[in-house]
Formats: sequence, C-alpha cells, structure tokens
Amino acid sequence: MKTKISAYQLFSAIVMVPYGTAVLFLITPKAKQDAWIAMLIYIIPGIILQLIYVELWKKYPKDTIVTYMPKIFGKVIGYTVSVIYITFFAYEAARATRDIIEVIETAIMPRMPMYIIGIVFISTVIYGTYTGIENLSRLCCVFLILFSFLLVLKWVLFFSMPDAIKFSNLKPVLEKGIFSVIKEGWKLITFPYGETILLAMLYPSVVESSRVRKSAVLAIILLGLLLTLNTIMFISTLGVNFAITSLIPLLQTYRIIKIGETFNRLGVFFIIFMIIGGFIKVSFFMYGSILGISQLIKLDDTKYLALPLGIVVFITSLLIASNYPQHIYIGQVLILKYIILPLAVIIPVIALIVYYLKTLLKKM
Amino acid sequence: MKRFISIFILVMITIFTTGCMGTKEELDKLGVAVAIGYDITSEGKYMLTAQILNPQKDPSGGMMGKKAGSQQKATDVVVFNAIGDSISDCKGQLSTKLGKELNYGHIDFVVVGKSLAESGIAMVLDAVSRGYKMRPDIPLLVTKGNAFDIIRATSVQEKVPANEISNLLRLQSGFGFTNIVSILDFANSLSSKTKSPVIGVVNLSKNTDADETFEVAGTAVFKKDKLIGFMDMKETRGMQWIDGKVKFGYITTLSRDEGKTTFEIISSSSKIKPSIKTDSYTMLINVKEESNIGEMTGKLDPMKDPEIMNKLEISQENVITNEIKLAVNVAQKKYYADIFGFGEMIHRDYPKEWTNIEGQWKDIFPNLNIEIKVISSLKRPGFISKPIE
Repeated sequence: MKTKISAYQLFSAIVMVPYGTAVLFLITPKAKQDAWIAMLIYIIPGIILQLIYVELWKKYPKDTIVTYMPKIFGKVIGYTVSVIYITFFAYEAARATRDIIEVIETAIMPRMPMYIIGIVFISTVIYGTYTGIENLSRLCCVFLILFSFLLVLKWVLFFSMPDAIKFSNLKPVLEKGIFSVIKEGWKLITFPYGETILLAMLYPSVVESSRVRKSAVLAIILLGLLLTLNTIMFISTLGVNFAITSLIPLLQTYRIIKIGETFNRLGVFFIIFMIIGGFIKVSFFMYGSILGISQLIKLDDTKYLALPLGIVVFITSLLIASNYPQHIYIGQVLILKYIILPLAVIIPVIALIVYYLKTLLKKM
Repeated sequence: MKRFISIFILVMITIFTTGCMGTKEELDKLGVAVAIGYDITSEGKYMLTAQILNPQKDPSGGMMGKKAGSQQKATDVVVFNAIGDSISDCKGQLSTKLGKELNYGHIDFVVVGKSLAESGIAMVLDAVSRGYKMRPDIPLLVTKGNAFDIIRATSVQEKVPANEISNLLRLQSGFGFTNIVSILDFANSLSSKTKSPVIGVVNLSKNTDADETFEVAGTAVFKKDKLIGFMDMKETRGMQWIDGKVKFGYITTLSRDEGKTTFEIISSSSKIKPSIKTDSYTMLINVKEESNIGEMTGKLDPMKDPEIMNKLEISQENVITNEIKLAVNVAQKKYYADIFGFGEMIHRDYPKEWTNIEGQWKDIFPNLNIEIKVISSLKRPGFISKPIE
C-alpha cells in the first residue's frame, strides 16, 4: 500500500515532531541569556542537514533511509545501519513517552503510577499509528496552526500583564562572544534539529516530490523561529537563573500567567497541549520504526506492527531510567553525543560521500 | 459488534481513568489554605501556620434566624499550626491536627517570621518552589514579629483576613510604601551574584482603638538569604521611585514662600544608566514624574502666573530627590547591600568591564557615584485656583 502525504503535511510534520518535546526545556543552559541566539544560529546547520537528507533521498527517490542504506554501504554494513536506525526511532519514541510521563508526574499527578499514564498515553499512540501516517500528518497540519497560535497568544497574555516581561534579562547580549555561544550550543544540531532525520523516512511518500527540499528547509526555519521565541520568553519572563534551575520552564511560564483575578492558574490546562505535542512526536517516531521494520521484512501493511511495537515502546519507556535526573542525564549527555550525532549527522554525510565515490569509480 | 466494543472501551476509560489518583479529594475534605506563615522555634525547629477556609461555619445573621448580636468576630477561616524538623515536615506534622488534605493552590501570600528570616530562608524558597502545588508568582512577605501572629490575626473588613492583606498589597503596588516581591523575583535576585534581595514587610499595628489591623509598609533587606535589616516607608518609596513603580500617593513640600503644598502623583517612570569612566562608576538615575496639586496653604495663585507651577515643580523635584537619596544612603552606607541591582545593570551594559570589577563589587558599591535627576511636571491645580481665605 502506497502512502501519500502532501508537501505541506511534510512541512508541518518536520516542525511539530521536534517541537513536541523541545519546547519544554531550555536546551542550551550553558549559553545563559544567549540561548536564543544559539537557537537562531543553529538553524543554519539544521538547514544543511535537511539538504543532506534530501540530497541522499534524491539519489534513491523511492527509498527511505532504511532501504537505501544497504544500497550504499552494501548488504552487511547497510542492514546493520538500517537496524540501528529502526532501533533508534523506537528508542526515541520511548524517550519522548518518558518525557511526557515525567511532566505529568512532576506537574499534576505525583502519586499516579507511571504505567497507568503510560498505558493511557501509548494506547492513543498505538491507535494513531494504526490508522497510518496520512492521518497523523493531517493531525500535524491542524496542530501546527494551533501551536503557533498558542505561542502568539502566550506572548499577548504576557504583554498584557504589567511587569511580566523583562527584556533586560536578555542583556548583556553575547557577553562571552559569539564563538562561545556556538561552542556551547553544538548540541542543538542533534536535538532538536537532528531529530528531523526521522522525516527522511517520509520523503518517498510525498506526492509533490519536487517540493520536498523547499518545504524541509522552510520547516526548519519555522521550527527555529518558534523555539527562539519560546526561549526568549523563558528568559525574559522567568529570568536566566530561574529558567535554568527550572526543570520544565514551559510549565513555569504558564503558571505565572495571571490576568486579573479570573484568568490565572492556567498551568494544568496547558499541560494538555504538552501532551498533544508529545503524542505527535511519539507517534511519528513509532511510525518511523514501524515503517522501517515493515520495509526490512517486506511487509506490505504497517498496521499490524503498531500494537507490538507500541508495547515495546511502552515497556522501554518505563525501564529506560530509574529516576528523572538519570533520564535527563542519559538524554542530554549520552544519547545526544554518542547516538544522535552519529546517526543524524555523521552517517548521512558518510553515506553521501560513499555514494559520490562510488559513482566516480564507476565512471573511471 | 465493533460499535459495542468501542462503547464498552469508552465507558471503561471514562470510569476508571478519571483524574488524579491519590490526590483527589472531595471539596469538604479539602483544606483550602489561603495564607501560610513560617517561623523558627527556639529549638531550631520550623513552625508552619496555615490559614484555612472554613466553609462549614453557619452563616451568621443569615436566613436561619440566628441572632447576629454576638460580638464574636466574623471570620470564615480557621488557623492551624504545626512544628516540624523541616519546612515540608511541618505539613506532615499538621496531619495530626487537621483532618483534611491541605490545598496550596489558592494561597495569597507566604509570610516569614523575623527570626526565621534572620537565620536564612533559602529552605522556605526551596520547599515552595520545588513542589508543584504553589505557583512561583505568590508574594513573599516578612514580618517583624512572628508569622504566626500575622496568620492568626483577624481583619475588621474582610471575613478572610488573607484577602485583606492581598488588598493592601494590590494598593501598595502603586503607592510604593512596600515592595511586592514574588517567589520568582526573590529566587532570581538570590541567584544573582551581586544583588541583595528585598521583601515587603507586613506587621500588626494598633492604630484603631479596638482592633489590631494589618500594616503593609516598609522593606526587609536581605544579604544572600539572611535578613539584615529593615527600611522604613520613606526609604522604600525612594527605592520604588528608582524602579519607576510609584503610581499613586502624595508628596508634601514645605517652604517659606510657598507654604505647605501637597501634590497628587499621577504617574512616574524611571531610567537608569550606568556610566563607566576610568576608575569611577556612576549610575545616572532619571525619574520622570507627573502630578496635580492636591492641597495648598500658601498665598499663591498659579492661574495668574504659570511660573509658579514651575517653582512648585522644582520644590517637588527636591523632595523626590531627597527620598531617593535616603534609599541610596541606606543601601550604600547602612546595609552595604545592592538592593537596586546596580551591579546587574553595569553587567548588562558593560559586560567587558564587569569581568574586572565583579570580584570587588562589594567594595565598589558603597562608593558608587549616584547622580539623581528628577523631572517632575505639574499639570493642573484642580477645581480651585488659590487657597480659599
């Protein structure tokens, strides 16, 4: 069964998938008040990454990463890489699930057993992936508009509160020079921008194949701008130090919204949107994994893998770490450096080089 | 069949996954705290005092025909306290006295007693900002006595005494006789390396014949998380002028030719600019203020000669300048505490120079040059032109 999505749907998916969890955190705390500049600067490597992914895919327009890797690297290495990618997607889904579980545990229901939240959450995800990527990407279109609107609304709310926004918190701009910001912010290549490697699984499904590159690049720019606005909001409303100390600064910003005596205590309400963002991320990563598996074992329909893989993701998400700091440590220190960086940056670049070398050798 | 299964699943989910396991409480089993206070006892233990709404009290003078003649104060709150080894442990100890789950979602303010503030309130700050129950925008207050007395006191005007204090706080955010600092603000100035945190002060005063009333006035000055002293109302307003937060209130001037004149403040704003020349650091404070004439005793008629307005403006500027000087003096000479955040301002505008002086800021701040420039503009004399004789 051939799945079809439009270029706009791909665009909204590229924005929404990393946005789902990236919006929760202040990703580069070491850059301090210049975190937003780091976010802006790293749009450029993000765009370059997209160009690499699209370029690779252009060589094999009908293949996803999982299927063209064997064609580039040969069977043994290629299939190993493909399996690694599939595992990585499933693992990322589990990580995002755990993120959402931890948010709920920290913010509203500290006594709820993790598995109950997990089951409720993952069963929705299973249903989502069961219905297929076309539904999920249509969902993305809707929520992209909603989430952008939400960000604008939040800015409007903050502007209508006296003394809520202190832009002086952003000063001094570039205190330690731009190179320090670039150095501290390198992780942004991997998360959130590197996570878009997942969407390379969907390129063959796009109907308007000529518009893939354009929409991928535009999506990264929009993603970068949304996250930059978000980071500026964290720093200007919470203050640098409090934003860094907060584990979920997004929720803290919602909690301080207070307009008059009636329009306050919005934190719990906005957790719904966090969960929706997480849902989109988990569903897409799980779907990527499912699609990869079905392509490897030559299964026509991706439907039937949704349930087994959902259970695997759910169990992994519980076993992934024994506590929250460990979960964040693994994610921020180990995974970014040793897994996402090779998978999202190094292997695609090597693959592209190998491809060009091969064609050169053939010509000679 | 499919429809039946989906309906079954829907019913199951809606029945069994409702809400918050373990934390769900019915309303009558919920103790809604409206204000809490923390003290330290002489043995070094912590004491929590909570003002809790009491919805089950029968309405006095209501439809039931009860005689409302009793002189008992009508309050809708009950007060509980507990002593524990730590801030959070107090909540646990409270469960032996209060048969309800405490809900912290509707707290109006947190008040800290003087002795606890002197021994450091970092613990309080940690406890209230770590949990999910209290939001970071709750105002933090210090009292010169025990927090217990503030929480326990009743109000003449409001049935819930905590509301009285939050009304006062709302007014004072414009009048500027106290400084309203939320947990978030306090956390931010505490984590700054140079700024000294300040907190508003609430006290009980006996200015009416019968009852004690609340008095929200003055500022508590901290060094790191420890209380080092208080500033009075005038000094506090001086500080608020610098922050540009004074929006209401009166200024009284006294001079030989003009007599006693009072001005009603309409608005004010401020701009602070640090400037660095070799080895001398100056803060330029520009305050702009607008006002009307509130009352006048001199024999002046501003309607005849608009120049008089300019003269009055100048005497008003002097009063404001003096108030600001008072605040600056207290900070520089008495407490040696950078309560205005001047260090951060220099850091923001001169990041390179700041790296050299950051270590010596303690010595630099007391000798910092402060240039105060007040521009006040007097708009209208009001309904009458000259004092009635």
